[in-house]
Amino acid sequence: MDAHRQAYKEEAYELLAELETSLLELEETPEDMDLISRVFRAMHTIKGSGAMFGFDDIATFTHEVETVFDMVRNGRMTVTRDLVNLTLKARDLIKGMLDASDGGAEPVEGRQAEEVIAGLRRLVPAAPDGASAKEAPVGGGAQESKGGETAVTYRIRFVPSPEVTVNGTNPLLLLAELRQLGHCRTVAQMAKVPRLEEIDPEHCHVFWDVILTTNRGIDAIRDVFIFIEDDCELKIDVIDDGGVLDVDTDYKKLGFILAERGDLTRQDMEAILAKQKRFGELLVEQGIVSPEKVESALIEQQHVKEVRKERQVQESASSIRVPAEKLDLLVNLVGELVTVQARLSQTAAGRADALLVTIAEEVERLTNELRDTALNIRMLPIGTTFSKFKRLVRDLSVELGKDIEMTTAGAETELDKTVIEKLNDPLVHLIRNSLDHGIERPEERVAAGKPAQGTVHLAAVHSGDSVLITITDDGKGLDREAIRAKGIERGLIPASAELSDKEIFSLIFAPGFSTAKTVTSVSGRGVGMDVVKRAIDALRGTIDIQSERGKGTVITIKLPLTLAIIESLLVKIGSDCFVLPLSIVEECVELTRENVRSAHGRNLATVRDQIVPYIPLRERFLIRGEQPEIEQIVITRVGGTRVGFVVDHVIGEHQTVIKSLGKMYKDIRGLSGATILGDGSVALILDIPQLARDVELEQMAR
Amino acid sequence: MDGLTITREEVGGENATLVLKVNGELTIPFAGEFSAALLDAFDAAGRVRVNLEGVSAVDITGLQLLCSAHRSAYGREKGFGVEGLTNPILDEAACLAGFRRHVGCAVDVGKSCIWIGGYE
Repeated sequence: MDAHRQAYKEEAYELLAELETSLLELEETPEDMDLISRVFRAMHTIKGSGAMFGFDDIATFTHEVETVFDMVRNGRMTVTRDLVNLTLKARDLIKGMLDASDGGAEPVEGRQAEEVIAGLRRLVPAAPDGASAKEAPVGGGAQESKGGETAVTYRIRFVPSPEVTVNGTNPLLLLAELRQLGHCRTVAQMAKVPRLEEIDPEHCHVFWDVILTTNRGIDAIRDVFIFIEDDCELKIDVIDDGGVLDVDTDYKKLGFILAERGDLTRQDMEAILAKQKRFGELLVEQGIVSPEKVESALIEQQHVKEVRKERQVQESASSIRVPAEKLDLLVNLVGELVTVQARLSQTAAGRADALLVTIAEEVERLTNELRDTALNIRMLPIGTTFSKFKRLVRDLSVELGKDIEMTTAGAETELDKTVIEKLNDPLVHLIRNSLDHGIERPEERVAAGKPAQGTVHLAAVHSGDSVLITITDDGKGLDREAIRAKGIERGLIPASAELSDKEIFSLIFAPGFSTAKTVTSVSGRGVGMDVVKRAIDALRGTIDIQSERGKGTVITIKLPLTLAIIESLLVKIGSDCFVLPLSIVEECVELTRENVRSAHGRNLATVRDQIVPYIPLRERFLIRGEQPEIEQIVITRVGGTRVGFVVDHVIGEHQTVIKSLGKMYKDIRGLSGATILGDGSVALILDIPQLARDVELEQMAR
Repeated sequence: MDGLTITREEVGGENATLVLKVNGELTIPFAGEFSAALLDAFDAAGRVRVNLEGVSAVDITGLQLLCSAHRSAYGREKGFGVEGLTNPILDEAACLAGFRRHVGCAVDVGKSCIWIGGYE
């Protein structure tokens, strides 16, 4: 039972997230029936399953909210801002109840729930006498479907007696009722309708073939006809059992359908089949079956084909729920496997054993596939995070008295689950900053000739093995001079320094840096941008700012797709191996003793007439021993500038399974992790941005 | 209750078309009246057109009389047409009743079935 409760909670959290998105969208397009239905369905599921698994408080509370949305759905109420606000509150309360269940958090006060319910009830328009009471059970009954039962397709031949209409029955109402049971196609058979000269205009001369796919069972169909049972011929056949027996989407041939219906004899069918022409056309040509009957049978054929096709699509789209820890374990194991495989390949290469080499190659291929698949499983669309921010922007703009719209793009962009989780806080911070410092108040905006409503645009896009996330606002932009002045005041830059925009903007990532004159509850305390920078660095990402005074700011975050395994460059200094992320490596060039001498002690190399500063790692890491005659400079791009790192040898590309360093080493600067090489030895992963920054700061201090 | 009113109007000179403009309810209480009006029209003219734009309700008797009239027209070798089938009330009833189709019935040799034009 606990597992079921857990599953319910997981599902409910997802539904609540969806509910929030739908509600926010609904605020913009209040007449979108699709959204209204989505909100209703989410509520309905939360309520229904909640009651089933013993979350009675949730079921009772949600029922009240659902009732209101049922009215909206039936057009008896319209969506207003108040309704969205209250429903969002209700959604938060339901989340609170979920959090509190099983003693997880503080229980939700009953008073809060009552307030929301009372608020919702106030929004309900007074019903005309008894109208809602009469309608409710009918509508509710028809919509309620017994979830979980498979949809079966029936062929219903309904032949009412001619007098049925005279007796007061309206066959169209029966057909309408059938339609409420599920996806339904109706074909009237008019062959027996006489000419005007002979017709009794009050009699019904039509009969019907209905193909109905429903999960309500055959009894529900019989119930429709219960009052005219004696006044009609009714034949109900199952033509598709919901996937128990069929194996493909194909359905019976036309002739068999007609024969089954009794509209054609087997003999006629076989005689016609012998002629090998289009069967339906032949039947009509020969006058054996009327065109309507052929059409009706063709509709059945098409309907069942569609039902089966849809089911196949659904089946292939079906998914299973797996706890994240299991996936983490899988990825860890794959990581180990990649390491062992590297060892195997290395061993095989060292021996002249053709068979062993073949096996090693095979293992390598399989391991690569396995690695890609395992990592793919952990990929999630970033959209879930985006939708959270919509709420954030909505609430904050109200608090700040600004009119701000948030737009998003690329919500389907996939990123590793862990990256998405760790990205949340930095993004919240950046968006808050945009809202508070970036976008001006409506009156200032209008005075500056901008639309009163400000925009924050959040976008994600794949770029090679990275994902670019941009936060764009059309606010007032960064104040270059104020930042520069503050930087000089804080001693971060010398007063005489000639700095590019990029260098000046990067000052805001310094700890405690703030040019804000006032501190608001949203931001301005100067805490944060350094934390954002650190968080992005920890994700092996980079952050970049572009800003134009008066026009707005664009913040670009570049992140690797995954944290678990990276493509890297393996290098050697003395007997130690190091790893650099390949994504930031631009090129490798040689560094001779002659080059070093001609630079007169400055760590600068000339690469194709451009000066590139470099960091001799042997020196920096105090590695003893003599460097080789010719060293290698690995040139990387860090935050827009090229920095070289001098090593003894470049070994080559390497697939690095990242292992975190233990707690003991957590304060070591310049290293971001370690990996195990094929021969079992450990290589340290260099934190290139950190190393470059440290050296830069040291030089400035001099 | 709107009842049913049918007005006749001749359009064109020789070989004139008689237009029956139907307003109100094409339902069982008025089925006899509608049927008689159609028969009268066929007696009076070589071409009959029924305008259904003003129809406010329709049931199976109304729908099947349109079919019946079409069949009579074939029998008498007269022209028959319908306008105003896009009237939402008629459109909905024709869809619900499964009258919409791709091919006409066996009688419809001239391929002038009024219900052709797809369904659902």
